[in-house]
Amino acid sequence: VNDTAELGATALTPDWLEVQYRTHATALLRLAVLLTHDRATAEDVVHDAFVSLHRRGQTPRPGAELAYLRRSVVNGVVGRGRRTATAARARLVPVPDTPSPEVDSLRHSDHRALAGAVRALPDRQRACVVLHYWGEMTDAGIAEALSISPGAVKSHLHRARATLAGRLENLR
Amino acid sequence: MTYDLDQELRTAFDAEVAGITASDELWERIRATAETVPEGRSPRRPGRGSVGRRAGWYLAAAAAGIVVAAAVAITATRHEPGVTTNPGPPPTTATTSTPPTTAAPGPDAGPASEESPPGTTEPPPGGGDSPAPTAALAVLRDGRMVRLDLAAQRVGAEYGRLYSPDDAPQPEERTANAIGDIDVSADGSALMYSTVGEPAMGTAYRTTLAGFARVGDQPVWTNTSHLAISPDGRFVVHAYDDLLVSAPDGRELSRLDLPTGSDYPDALWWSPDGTRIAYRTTSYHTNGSVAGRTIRVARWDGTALAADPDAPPRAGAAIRWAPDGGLVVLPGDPLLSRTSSDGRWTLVVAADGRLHRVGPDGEDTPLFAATRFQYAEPIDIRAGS
Repeated sequence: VNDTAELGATALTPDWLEVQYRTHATALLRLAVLLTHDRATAEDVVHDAFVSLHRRGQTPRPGAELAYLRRSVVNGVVGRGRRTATAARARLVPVPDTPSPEVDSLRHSDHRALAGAVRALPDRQRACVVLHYWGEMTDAGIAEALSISPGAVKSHLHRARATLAGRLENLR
Repeated sequence: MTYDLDQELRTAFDAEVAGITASDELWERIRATAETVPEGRSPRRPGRGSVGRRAGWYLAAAAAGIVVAAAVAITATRHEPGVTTNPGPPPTTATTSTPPTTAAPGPDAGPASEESPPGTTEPPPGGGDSPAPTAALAVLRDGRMVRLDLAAQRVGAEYGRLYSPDDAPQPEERTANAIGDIDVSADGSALMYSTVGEPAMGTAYRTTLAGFARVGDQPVWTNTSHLAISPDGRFVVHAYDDLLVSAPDGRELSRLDLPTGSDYPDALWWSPDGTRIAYRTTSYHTNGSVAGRTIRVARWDGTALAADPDAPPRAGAAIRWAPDGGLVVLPGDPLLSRTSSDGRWTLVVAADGRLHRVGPDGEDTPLFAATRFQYAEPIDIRAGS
């Protein structure tokens, strides 16, 4: 997949959008779940990504569809907590004080320690870790998805690894 | 045994998403939403990118409705010798405090009237911060206060959306256009404030004051949700994703350290001598609850001096510089606080609407009930406790 996700000149149609959904939505949803640790929020993010693409009215360049949608998903997650908090401060959205059921269930899984440590990472560090280890993306691809420099990706990954190693060491 | 973190991460991630598939129901949601939105509309993804387009809105809203109300005349209620060593400007503007019956709603009231979304007077539960104020106080060097009220003319009720996936009006998503920060220049001639109407975004304005009358608003920075003017008026520290020190005319002078990509600066305090800045950064869980807060100190040129990465989640809503140069981080979550130019006290409007003065050794003196900012009596906040 070419990570340069520029829009093409082809008009977008509903059928084309559905094809993209059938092709990429599961991968995008899994990515969103890993980034948000919440299935409902993840579905909202994927929903917004496809609706945003529809609103563009043009398809991405052929081959860049997944990269485009993935970047939209990542951008929809990074900073989402802050936006949610701000919305709540404007008295529009209640902020839950307890973890979602999905998060809670992870506590009882075999991977709860690691999942908890990843969940506690800052947004961009978490995104870098997920895209690197699960998405198997290059630093350049992650940088493009997050709109940051490759150097910043390396820095985020380095800090995230150090944090995760430290937290897991404490648990052992 | 060697612990392979990389392999553990891959295994954990694969296990976490195993069995997750995109459903037909989600596609139907997407299709239904898409059908209501014409293709080719300019997207408005929430986030920092749209602030420039919104600046005009902010300016229009500000020009239309913002009132810098001459708030409280600080005429000394205790006429003790020595209290009036700094008399401030002539009392012509100072003696006409806003009548309680006409005072605009304060932070607890939100946008006025029937356009307020239902339930908006309720603060967010547990993990969130208090509602952002739509009215705020700035303290002049001589102890007078200036009040900025965005809700007075229902600007917030008419303006803005949150997270709207399209351009159609969605009244239930209207936001109270709230104030991020407010500060007054050292000579009292200009007031700067930031708005946080859209999610976490804002625009900083500079308002020229003639006495207490607002002359005009001028946008200075976009992507600015918080700001503070240095005591000597030479610098302004302002923040959104970045934390910058600029000259009041907008020239960037330095950047302050934000170690991680998800720590957002949201409270700024200059030291009384204007050389250092204490600032709080907050990281959030995806659901909007606070994940952690850090208190940092840096020189104005960006040199990091200290950091406390383990600040309690609700700490730092008010910080005071102690006379010995140390920091006092107050717990709690007041709606707003301002420290006097000499650092001797902090004026805190608590979540219950009461006004407190907190002194350098931590004593907390309730001044008067300022619920809904209906001031009962003017009071000299320069007086000793």
